[in-house]
Amino acid sequence: MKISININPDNPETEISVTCPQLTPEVEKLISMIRVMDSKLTVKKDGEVFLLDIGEILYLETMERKCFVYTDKAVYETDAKMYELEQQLAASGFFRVSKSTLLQLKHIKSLRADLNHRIRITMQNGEQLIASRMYADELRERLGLK
Amino acid sequence: MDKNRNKKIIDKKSLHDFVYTTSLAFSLQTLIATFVMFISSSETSAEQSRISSIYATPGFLSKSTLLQFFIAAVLTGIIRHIFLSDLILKIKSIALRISLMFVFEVIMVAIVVWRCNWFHSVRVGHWIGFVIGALPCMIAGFFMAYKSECRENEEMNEALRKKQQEEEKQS
Repeated sequence: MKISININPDNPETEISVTCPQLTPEVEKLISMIRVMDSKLTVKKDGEVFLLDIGEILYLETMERKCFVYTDKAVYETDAKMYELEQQLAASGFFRVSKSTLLQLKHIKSLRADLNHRIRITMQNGEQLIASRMYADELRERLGLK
Repeated sequence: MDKNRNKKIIDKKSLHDFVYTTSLAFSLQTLIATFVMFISSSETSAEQSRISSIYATPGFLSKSTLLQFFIAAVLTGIIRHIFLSDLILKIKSIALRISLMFVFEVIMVAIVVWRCNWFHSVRVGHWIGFVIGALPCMIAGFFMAYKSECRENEEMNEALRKKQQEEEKQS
């Protein structure tokens, strides 16, 4: 892969253009990583591709090897793997609360201690998620309670 | 993508996990314990005395007593399932859940002890002593647990608000 960087003070904003013989999964992954840097996530819904603003995402969840992206209004699907998203979105305030769920801290409405050292998380849209025992400790640490 | 459909799958999966792990473990434990005791029990009084002395049990391990143990264990399991899961009751407080669970378990065990006549020499005075002794402990336990639960929730939500404000300032 050839990388060329052109520094031009006359350009008003940074522009990235990808030139390739065909759109391979590697190229798609690269584009999706660049979009995360630009606070956008490529998602799909009913066969259409959308560019979703990361700030809108409440949480992400894997189910039957598929990754779903939940916003206040709709549910989308993404081809990215959970561990990739966890790395890419960590800087945007996302963290894991269970093996299958990644959520954004700013969209949490309240927390409540649950049985077996778990934490019941109420999101701003009223949905409830459970932070499993292992990740509940990490959440407490993240909040400075440990 | 239908959001409700996704949620139903999640609920079904977590319900399945819950029932699978807890009830299977509990039922297997009870069944194995009862089965082992059942095959080692005897209806002859000499054999029962011998088993009682080996296992240091208060009464005879007759087959009918073991069946009563089994029924009591199953009832305990049902009570625990009801109070420790969201299947039937949606109680938010852990302290209230556990307190209610113990109250119902104690009532159930008391009824079984009384109806099955497990301890032959239990008299009314014993029951009164049991209630007087257990009730204050249970009430005090509930209030202590409830207070610490409320404090923990308050601390967590306060820390969450602080963290959210910090992240908002940074962005």
